[in-house]
Amino acid sequence: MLITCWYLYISARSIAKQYLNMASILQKLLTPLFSGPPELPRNKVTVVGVGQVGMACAVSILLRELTDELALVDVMEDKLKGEMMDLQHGSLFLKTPKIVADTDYSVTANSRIVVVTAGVRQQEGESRLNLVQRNVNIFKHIVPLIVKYSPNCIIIVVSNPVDVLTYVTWKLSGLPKHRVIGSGTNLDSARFRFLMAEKLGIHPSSFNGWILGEHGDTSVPVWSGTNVAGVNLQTLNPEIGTENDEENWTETHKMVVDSAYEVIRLKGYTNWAIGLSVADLTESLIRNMNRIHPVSTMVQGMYGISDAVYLSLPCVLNGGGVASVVNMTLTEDEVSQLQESASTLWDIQKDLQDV
Amino acid sequence: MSSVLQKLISPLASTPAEPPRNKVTVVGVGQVGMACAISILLRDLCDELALVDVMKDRLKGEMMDLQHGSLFLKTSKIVADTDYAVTANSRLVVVTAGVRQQEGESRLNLVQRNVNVFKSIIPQIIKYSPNCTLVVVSNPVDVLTYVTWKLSGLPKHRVIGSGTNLDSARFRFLMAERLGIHASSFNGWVLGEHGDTSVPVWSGANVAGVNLQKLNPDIGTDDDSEQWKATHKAVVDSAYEVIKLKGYTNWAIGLSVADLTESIIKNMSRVHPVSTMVKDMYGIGEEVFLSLPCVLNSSGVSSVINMTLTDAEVGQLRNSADTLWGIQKDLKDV
Repeated sequence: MLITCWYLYISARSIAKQYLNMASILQKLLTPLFSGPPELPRNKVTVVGVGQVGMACAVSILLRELTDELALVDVMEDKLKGEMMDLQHGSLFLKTPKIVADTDYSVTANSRIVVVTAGVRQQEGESRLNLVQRNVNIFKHIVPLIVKYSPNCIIIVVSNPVDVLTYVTWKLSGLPKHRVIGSGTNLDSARFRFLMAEKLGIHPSSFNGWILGEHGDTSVPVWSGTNVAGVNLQTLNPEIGTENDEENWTETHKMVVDSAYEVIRLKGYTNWAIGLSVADLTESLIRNMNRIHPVSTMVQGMYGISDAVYLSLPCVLNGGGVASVVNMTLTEDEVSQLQESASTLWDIQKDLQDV
Repeated sequence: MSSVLQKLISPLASTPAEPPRNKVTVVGVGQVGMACAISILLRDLCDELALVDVMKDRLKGEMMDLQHGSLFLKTSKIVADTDYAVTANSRLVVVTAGVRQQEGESRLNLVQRNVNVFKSIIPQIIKYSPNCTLVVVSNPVDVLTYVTWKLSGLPKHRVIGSGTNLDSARFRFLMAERLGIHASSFNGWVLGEHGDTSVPVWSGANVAGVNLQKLNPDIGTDDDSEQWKATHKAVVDSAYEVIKLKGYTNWAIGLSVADLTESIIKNMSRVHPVSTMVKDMYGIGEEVFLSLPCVLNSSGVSSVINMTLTDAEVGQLRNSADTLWGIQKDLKDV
C-alpha cells in the first residue's frame, strides 16, 4: 500500500516535471497579471487604398505617432499584404503597436478616422473631374462598409475629384455633415505657402495665405488675406493677384494649380505632399486641437450658394470633426469665383447615378 | 516701385547664407531611397536634404513633391540634381542606387551590375563631401560596402553598410509578436551577412535581461519543440516574401536607415548591428564587411562590441566571410 502510494507519488512528480519542462518560453518568461480581453483601440486610423497616396498617408501618420492602431484595406490582396508586412517590419522604430490589413472591412472596426484614397487616379493631362463616375461606382461599395464597422468615425476623403467625392461619401454614408471632410485645398494652400514663402525667403509656416473653393483648376487664392506677421501683402501691393501686377504674383497661384500635373508628368503620380497634408488634418482631429484648415465641407447656405456642394473653407477641426467654419471677408470677385465652383460641381453631381 | 518683398522685409544681415550643419544626401530616388528620405524628413534629422539620381524627370518630380510638403516639415532646404555638386558638404550620404533583386533572385547575383554603377557614383560623392560618413544600402550590401570603402579611400570607420540593422528589426518584431510584447522590449541580434546566411545570436536573446536560451536550451536548434528557429527563417525569407507580394520592400528599410542616421547625426553612440570591416576579428583574415554591433556616433563607427559567441556562431561568421571574399576577389576594378 505504501509502496503503491510511493510509486504514484513518483510518477505524479515526474509528470509534473515533464509538464513544467514542456512549458513554452512565453509561459516561463511572462506571468500574466490579468486575463481580461485586450483593450479596444482609442485612436484607430484606417486607410482605404494602398496605392502611392494611401501608403504616403499611412507612413506619415505612423511617423507622426498619431494612432495606436492602423488598418489598411484594398482589393488587391497580395499588394495589401506586402505593404502591411513591410510596415510591420519597421515596428521596432515606431510607436504604433498594431498594424493590420484585410480585404474584408471588419478589420477596420472601431476606427476614429477613416482616410479614403481608393479609386482610380488622374492620368497625365487628365482633369480631376473626368474621373468622377468611375470613382462614384467604387465608393458605392466602400462607404457603406466603412460606416457599418465604424458608425462613429470621421471620414477624410482624398480621392479625386475630392469635392464631388466628398459629397458622394456624405450621401452614401448617412453621416452628419460635420463628420465627412474632403482633403480639399489643404494641399493647395500648403503648396501656395511653400511657393510664396520661397519667393520671400521665409519658411512656409510663416507665410499666411489661403486657397479655398474647388481643389482643382478653379481654386480661389484669397489675396486679400495674404500676410506675413500680420502685414497684409495686398496693402503693400494693391495689384497683387491681378493681371496688372508688375510682380506677377498671380503666376504663383497658377503654379499651384499646375503643381499636380507637373509632378505627375515628372514622376508619374504625387504622394508625399498629400500624405503629409492628410497627416496634418489627422493630427488636428485625433488630438482635438481646434486648428483651422482649408478643407472641403458642405457649404450650402453660405456665400449665396444654394446647392448641396462641398467646397473648401477654413474649418475648425477637432475630435468631433468640423466644429465650425470661419466666415471670410471675401471680395465680390472672390465670392463669385466660389459660386462658379459651386455651379460647376453641382452640374456634375446632379447627373450622378445612384447617389 | 519696390517689390512686396522689399516692402515687407528688411534684411538685417547681409552675410552669405549659412552652410548646412546636418546635411543628408540620398543617392537614388527609387522606392528605397524615397522611403529613406521621408523617414529622415519626418524624424526632423537634417537641415538640408539633397537627392541625386540619373533619371532627371523622376528626380525633379520627387523633389517637388517633397518640397510641396514643406509646410509640414522642419527641413527648410530640399534640393536635387543629376550633378553631384548639389550634394556638397553632406554629413551623411545614403547610397541606395543600383539595381534591385527581382522575384526569386538572391542578393549576391546583383553584385557585378551594381559595382559598375558604384564606380561612377562613389568618387563623385567624396569629391563634394570629403568628410562625410557613407551608409550603403544597395544590395548585396556587405560586398557593396567593401566596394564603396575601396573606391572612396575613406577610413573604415566612415563607411557603414545598413547590414543586419533591418534583419535584427524584423527578428525583434517577429519574436516579440510571439511573446505579445513590443519589438523594442525584445533584445536579439542578427549578425553577419545581410542575407541568407545571417546569424541569429540565440545565446544573447533576452527580455528584461532574462536569457531565453536559459529558459529553453534547445532554442534555435532543430530539436527545439517550440521551433524558434522558424522565426529566424522568417526573417531571412522576409524580403523575398514582401517582394513577391508587393514587388519590392521600402518602408522597413527606410525606417531602419533613419534610425542609423539619427545615431550618427545626433552623436548618440547607440549600438546598432551594421556592416563594418571585420578583418582580424573572430579569426577572419580577409578584408570583408559583416554586421557586428557597432557604436555609432558623429565620427561613424567609433567602436565594435566584442561578442561572446559560441563556436558554431563563430563558424557561421567565418563561412559568411569566406562566401563574401569568394565574390569580392573576382570583382573588376575595385
